[in-house]
Amino acid sequence: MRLAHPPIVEMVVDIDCDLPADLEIADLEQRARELYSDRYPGFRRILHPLPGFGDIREATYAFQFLEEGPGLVQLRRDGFSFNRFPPYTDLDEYLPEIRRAWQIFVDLVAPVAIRRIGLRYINHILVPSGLRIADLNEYLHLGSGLPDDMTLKFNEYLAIEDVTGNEVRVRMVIDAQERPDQPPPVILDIAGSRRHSADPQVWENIETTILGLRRMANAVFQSSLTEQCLTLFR
Amino acid sequence: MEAMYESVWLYGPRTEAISEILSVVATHCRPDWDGEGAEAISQLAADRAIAFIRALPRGVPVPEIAPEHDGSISLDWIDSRSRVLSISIGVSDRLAVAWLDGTNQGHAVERFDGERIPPLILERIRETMGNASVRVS
Repeated sequence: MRLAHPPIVEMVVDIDCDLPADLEIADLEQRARELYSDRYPGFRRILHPLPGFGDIREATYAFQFLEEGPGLVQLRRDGFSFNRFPPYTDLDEYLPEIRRAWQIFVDLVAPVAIRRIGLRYINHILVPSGLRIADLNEYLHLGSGLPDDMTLKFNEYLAIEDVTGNEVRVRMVIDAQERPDQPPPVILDIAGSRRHSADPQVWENIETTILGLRRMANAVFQSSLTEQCLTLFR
Repeated sequence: MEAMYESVWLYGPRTEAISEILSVVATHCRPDWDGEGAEAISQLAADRAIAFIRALPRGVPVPEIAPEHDGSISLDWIDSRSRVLSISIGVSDRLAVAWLDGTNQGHAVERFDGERIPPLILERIRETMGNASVRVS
């Protein structure tokens, strides 16, 4: 099913890796900026708190390379990410660029092995409804057992597909209201992942995993929304 | 690790603000960093400032970060020259809050338990940044 106006506000492909033990990500900054600058001219350094921190080199967690358009690539201390924002079209359109950006990462970092591949879709859904479960049920399948008069803030579950071993964690969050007189938006966060050891050099295997995660994420998305809700995005 | 750093839409502005705090600490962690006898920015002040950023509800603007002469970290919400909110975070749980709103100005001291932003501060942030085009947490 293809939606004309998908509520996706971010798609993230994560590839978590074991990196060489002696690798210091801060040492890669200059070279990485050169390699990514053709398509990603923007740059941000992301630091992460460490006990006794006082050195930027030690605290460097990631570099973010920003497109002029709606996307960025992250070179992380523990892997690689490709983030895409609206306007979102289709994962198939982005796969060649994901592969190219990944190959730069591989050439630069020489990861030892892949530990986990993730595909995450964050959806921002504006339901024309109130907060009560009874109302939200017209748009979202929230699961059984929730009392109708309950005020929902957060709903989460984890599922594992038997055949593939793929995991999917689904979070539904009632977001903060920007205006009290308007219904709050719902964040539907679908994060699929596969934990296994894989060869970083074999892109075909990575792509197969990503496509398998997409199939699962799409199924979860469709089963999370009612027909009435899906019509909002057609 | 929770995928805080991977989703930019969900966590980007807060992640950037935390990075700025850490960068400020790294570049101001020695006494006299301003050549005028400033105190070093301490790890404890940074931890408290980071906890404050993490506690900001989604949709609330994140501040600009600056070091202070007394070793505190200043979190500043600046809408214009005449609409400013500044919170000073040091090693204690007390926050020094000062604001300027047109011709009105004020100051207060609030306590931050490390998890919940005092309501008065949230209200002040929203009032100060109500019309601003800003990065939101």
